[in-house]
Amino acid sequence: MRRALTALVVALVLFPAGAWAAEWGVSDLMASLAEVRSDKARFVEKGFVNLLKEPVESSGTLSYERPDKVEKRTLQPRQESLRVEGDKLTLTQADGTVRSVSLSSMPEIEAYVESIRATLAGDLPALRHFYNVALEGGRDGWTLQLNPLGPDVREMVRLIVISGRQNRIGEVAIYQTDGDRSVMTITPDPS
Amino acid sequence: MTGDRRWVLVLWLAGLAVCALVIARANFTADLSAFLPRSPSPEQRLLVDQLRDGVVSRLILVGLEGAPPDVLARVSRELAAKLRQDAAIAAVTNGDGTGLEADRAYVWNNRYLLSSAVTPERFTANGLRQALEEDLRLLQSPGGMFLKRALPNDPTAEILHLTDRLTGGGGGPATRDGVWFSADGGRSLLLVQTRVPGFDMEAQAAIIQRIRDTVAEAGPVRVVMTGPAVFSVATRDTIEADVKRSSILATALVAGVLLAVYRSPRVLALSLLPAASGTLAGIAAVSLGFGTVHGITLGFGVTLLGETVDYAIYLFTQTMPGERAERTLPRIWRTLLLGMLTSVVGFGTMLLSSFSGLAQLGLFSIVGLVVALRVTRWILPVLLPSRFSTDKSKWLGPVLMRCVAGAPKLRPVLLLAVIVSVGWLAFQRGDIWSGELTSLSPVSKADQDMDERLRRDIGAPDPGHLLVVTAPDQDAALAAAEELAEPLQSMIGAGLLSGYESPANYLPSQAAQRARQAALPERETLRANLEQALEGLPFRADVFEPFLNDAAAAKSAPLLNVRSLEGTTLLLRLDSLLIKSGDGWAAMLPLRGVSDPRALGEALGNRAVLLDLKAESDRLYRTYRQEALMLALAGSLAIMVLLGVSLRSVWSLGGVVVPLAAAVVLTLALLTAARQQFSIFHLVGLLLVVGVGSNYSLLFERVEPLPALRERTVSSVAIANLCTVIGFGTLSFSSIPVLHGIGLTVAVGAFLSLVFSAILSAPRERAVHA
Repeated sequence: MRRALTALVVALVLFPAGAWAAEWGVSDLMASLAEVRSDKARFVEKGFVNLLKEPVESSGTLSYERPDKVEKRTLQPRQESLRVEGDKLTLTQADGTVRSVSLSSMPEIEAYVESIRATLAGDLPALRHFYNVALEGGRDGWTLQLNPLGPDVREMVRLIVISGRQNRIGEVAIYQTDGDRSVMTITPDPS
Repeated sequence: MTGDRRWVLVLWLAGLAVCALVIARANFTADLSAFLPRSPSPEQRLLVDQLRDGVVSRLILVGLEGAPPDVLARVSRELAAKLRQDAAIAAVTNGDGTGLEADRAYVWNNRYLLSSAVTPERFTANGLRQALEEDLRLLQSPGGMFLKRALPNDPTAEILHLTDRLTGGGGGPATRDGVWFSADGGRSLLLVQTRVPGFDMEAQAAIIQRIRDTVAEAGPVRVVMTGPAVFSVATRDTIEADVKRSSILATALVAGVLLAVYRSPRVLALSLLPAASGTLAGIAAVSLGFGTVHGITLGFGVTLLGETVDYAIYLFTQTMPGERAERTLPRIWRTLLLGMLTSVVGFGTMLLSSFSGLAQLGLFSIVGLVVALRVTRWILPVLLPSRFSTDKSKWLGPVLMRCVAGAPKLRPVLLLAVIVSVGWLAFQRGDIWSGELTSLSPVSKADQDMDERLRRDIGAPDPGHLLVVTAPDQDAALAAAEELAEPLQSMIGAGLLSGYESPANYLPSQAAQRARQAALPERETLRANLEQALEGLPFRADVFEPFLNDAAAAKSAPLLNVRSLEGTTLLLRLDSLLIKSGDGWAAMLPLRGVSDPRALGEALGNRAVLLDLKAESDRLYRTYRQEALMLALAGSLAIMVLLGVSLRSVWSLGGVVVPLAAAVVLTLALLTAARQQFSIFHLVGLLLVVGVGSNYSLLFERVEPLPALRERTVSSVAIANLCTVIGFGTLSFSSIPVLHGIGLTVAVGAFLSLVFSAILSAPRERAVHA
């Protein structure tokens, strides 16, 4: 313990704060995200839709399990779920209707899904396959800007901004090409 | 040479020339349906026709494997691109989205004519209010982002309704790198639909070869293909290879045996003469009688060789040194004739079979045997040199005589073997029978399994249960299919089935389209209804202007017909479900997940015909097995009567029948012990054992005037039997079920008949000599 503390002190002296920040980059963020095996959180999502005069709000839980399982379960205003596992996306609506699609057959949906799944998995190559990735901030407060590369996706999504601290995501904002946007705030599941 | 003899020769040669001419003009096929039962009902005929040249028969399922996924995906794309330029190919689907753009456009642009949810109530203020509330929920749901784009044009969500109907909830196969893959990612998949009909074997074989070549060029990838046409081509090749192999093998072996025994090329050539003449005449007769000659019939030719070589051998061995062949004939003619007649009766029952393939084999063998015997009777003596006689083999006769003399000691063993066999067969009960029609299919089990795997991977519907409705014209057939929608939907609710596909999903009847146009209100009425529905909802004003435009356009749009689907992949699906049948049209509705076919059939009443393909074909198979059993019994009985009348002695008849019966029982036991599933073809084989085996018993039963003649008889029977076993035995190595089943059964049965005849007939012989 004492030796570790000494090492930390030596490190802080030898490497000034600025140099330290420059060292911390996308790969470090991804590496720390990749350590998370599974996670569960609550979310509140606000949608600003042109078709509507007022924003719509929904809330529920998010869960993630390495390497490729993500589920967004909406509890309010109705119970619905969007589940992704491997190449299969399953949408279960409140009335029990279940729709399944193969992700790779719908590139725009695949890109949307990977923005969150690849970030959670810390899979930089997958993320870079779909987006131009830019990182701002440091370990304790970072913002990831994802600019879609594919024309199919750009038709729908202009920009995705994911922010968080350390290895937790705090907010996902999606700016759509038609001007609509949605902001999802994520808080750790108290349970 | 006298004038009479010359005329006989001229007549024979002229006959051979005519046969050769007929054969030269004959039509040869390898159509599998000849060995499937003829279907009695019109619906089943429709299905068989579909299998022959319908859309189903034009499908080739292609799997690429044995390389990393990215290579498999690239080869899939290259193969698809190449094949799409091929004039013989109608469509290639590999999941890369080609053609889907046209499908989406067709469904989207015509959604108000296509959707069965379009009713007058849906466009009233109340109906629209419900739809808009649903839309609002949709916008809040996780899928809202993807679904909202269509909302301004389609607030009643017809496109979702249609997509659910068209994809049937399955969603198609998995994709990787934008092309279809099996779920485990080990195989990329393509579905090829040929323009040329499935029965055009030459064209299909060429397409299959082009696919192989293209894949070979594209990379180190293994290609697997299945589908009706692929199987037909493979079977044709197998039949050709099997026929060639067994003909050469049997001829070489028989020739070897004859040479070894008689050491004379001339005797060899002469003994093959009846067989060759019989084969020519048999093929010509089949060509004249059936119009076409099946490849399998040619394969059966080698059995004729084994059978008819007997006649010549018998004539030669019975001709004593210094005796003229003409003098020998009257002495042995009765036995030869009776032997031929029993075989003819055996094959004759095959003529009555419902399998046109088996009937061909029957006609071929009967004509072949009759002609072969005639040639032995009239031609061979003319061609034989005047002082002809075969040398007596120095060792064969004595060895055989010693065996025959010792054979009766084996009687207790034979009795025990029969008892054990009967016990074994009783213990097996009905399990020895293969109850499935597929047991008759020349397609190997491995190929059938591969086909099933590819079908499951691609999600190609397995036509297990099918509803068929018929009508005088195309539109009426579509209307009839539409009338089934309501009962089927309620049956889905009741859990009788999980889903169905209907041609009316792709092209509604004209009446349904007109009714949907009528259900759409006039533009201003619709606007008023919409405004009333929007009251109190958070939608912005004017958002739904595109909807008003689209609805107004749909109301006055020209009605859809088959031509509207051109360029889409949906046309292929419509083509496979809506087909011309006889004078009218038939709509087919494949059902998914049928849990209780009986209840389903009862609930449908006489509105449509429910076809349970598997059960139907297995039921057919059992009917035909029953028929084959009756024919075999009738044939055996006819042979017994024939023998009884000729031998005019119960004691002699017993001497012939008992070894035969023992041989049949032991053959049956041996084959089942060797895990052979018994099919109709084995049954036919058993009948032939009776027909062929009785010849040996007849010869053993013959009372010969001299011990030397007795020795000659035994030698000739042994050699003849060896040739028969060779003829049928080479067929048993074929992978074609009919050839394998008959070949194996007769080879085993004929050999046992000879051995048992020796064992059971010897004591009487001693009595005669005493």
